[in-house]
Amino acid sequence: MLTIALAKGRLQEKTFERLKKAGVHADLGALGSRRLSVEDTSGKYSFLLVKPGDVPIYVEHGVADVGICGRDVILESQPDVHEPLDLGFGACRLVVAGKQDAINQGHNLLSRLKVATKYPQVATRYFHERGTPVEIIPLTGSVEIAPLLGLSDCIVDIVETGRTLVENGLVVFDTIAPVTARVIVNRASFQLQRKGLLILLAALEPSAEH
Amino acid sequence: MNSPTLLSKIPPGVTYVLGEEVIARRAVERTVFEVLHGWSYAEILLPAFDYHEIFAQGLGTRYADTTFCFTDSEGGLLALRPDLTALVARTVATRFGGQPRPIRLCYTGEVFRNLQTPGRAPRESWQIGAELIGNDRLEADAEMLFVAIESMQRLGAGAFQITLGHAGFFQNTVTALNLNSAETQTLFEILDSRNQQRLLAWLQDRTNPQQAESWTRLFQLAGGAEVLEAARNLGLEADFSAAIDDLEHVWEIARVLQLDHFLELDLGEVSNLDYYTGMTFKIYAAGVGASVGSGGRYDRLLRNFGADEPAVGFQFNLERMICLLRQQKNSPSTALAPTILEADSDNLLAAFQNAQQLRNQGKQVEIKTMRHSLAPH
Repeated sequence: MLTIALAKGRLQEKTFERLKKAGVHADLGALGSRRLSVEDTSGKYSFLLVKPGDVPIYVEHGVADVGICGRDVILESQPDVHEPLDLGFGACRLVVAGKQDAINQGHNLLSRLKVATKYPQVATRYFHERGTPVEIIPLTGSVEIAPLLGLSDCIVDIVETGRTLVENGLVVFDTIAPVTARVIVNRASFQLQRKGLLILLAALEPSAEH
Repeated sequence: MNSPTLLSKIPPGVTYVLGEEVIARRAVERTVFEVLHGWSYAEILLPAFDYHEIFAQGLGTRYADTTFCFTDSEGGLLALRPDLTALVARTVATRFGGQPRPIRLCYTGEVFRNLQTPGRAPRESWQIGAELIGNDRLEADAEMLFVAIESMQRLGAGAFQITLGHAGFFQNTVTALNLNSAETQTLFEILDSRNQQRLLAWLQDRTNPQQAESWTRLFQLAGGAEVLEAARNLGLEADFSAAIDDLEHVWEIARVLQLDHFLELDLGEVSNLDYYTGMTFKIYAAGVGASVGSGGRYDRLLRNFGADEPAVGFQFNLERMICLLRQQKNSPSTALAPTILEADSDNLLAAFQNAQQLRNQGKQVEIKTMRHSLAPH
């Protein structure tokens, strides 16, 4: 049996949809509320629903064989896993954004930029690659209000439509990476359960016919 | 220094090992060394630190950048060993000049990695391994593989699988496409992600569609001996055929020895390829989540130390091995059950004499006296 960790929240409904399309019959709706894990009717898969950032951890440690999560959390935690499939849905971007005047400060190489983010590793790498000294302010939510309150000069966050940013008077300075939902696979599971995995991956492909 | 928090604080990634875990670890070392000695591997004791340059030369900056460094009295840069193979290779290259080849050495000990993100991989991990130096033939590759299999069997590790790969497939692709180091890194990452569509698209941008298609198929091939036949039918260049030949010969020897059921080919396996140059293998077992051991041919390493000699080796990760054996309920009997001799001041002398006799009979004895038994904190 393959244990599959799914991400709560943003990708949850679309992930359930894709699994259904792939021919998985399971009471996924029961996850998170009533049940810790559910199995599909064929007994081939067992599903867990966990916080998005925990999906790569479950998979790297082999507690789950497979994970479905956004590329944003993969970039943040850089797990030692395979990433064989781009599911295509849940598209958004990891961006640097801030108030219009903050961009000038970014060009001043001597000033230290304050960056509020849920993605401290991604933000650190991005600014280090550009030689910009930064102070990372790690937050767990409502990142877009940090510049308004004067907590930070800019933010690193994911945006889907950009509406929240506009409403808060923020503009996008740069796109760090495009984000979609991905399938990740534990390295040992890839070797030990190859057959079952390849069947699952083929069924999950965006272009797969059902 | 006397603050209680500092006394109880342990640096992240550092472990103190005690109790059953020690017994299990020593038992694994003993069993693996028994197998290795049976194959005529002599143990070498290696220093805990050496010049940083040794590791930088041997392993490249990838490992050398993650070492704990300090200086000697002359200002020379020293490093805690991040790897044991480099030390063995250097020793053979510089001190085994006149000796007949091949040289078989084995070792055990901890390696230290100064990783930037604590909590990921441990900073300190234990390895046990062997190196066969000075033989470029396939019998050396096969020997290393069989030593690993025999160790797994003798340890009672249960069901396991050894994934065989070959560094030649990746290296020949890099050479054929004349990739620079950034492109080589990208190809490595795409292969390691196992994303077929990305691989095909990336190759199509760099070569003709037919070539891109057959390389993509090549890197997807995995399974039993039929994989090699399928690889041949792709009609690749001679360099690729040489890698296929290597794997075929090793597989054939394993088949005759009835060990091929442990093996699985995976031509898309690319991890550690900055190190290995020929056949590679990784040992997997259910429930561990990562390989419990790995090995392969590394014909370039000794060149870094001034001796152009072929070599092949393997190592087990002891922590993961013990994790596996524990799941198999196969960790050696752990309970310490000494004979207890109760004594007080009157019969203490008799107790010591009695204990001596029992120990001479090979028994384990614990002398318990009322006055020496203090209550725990």
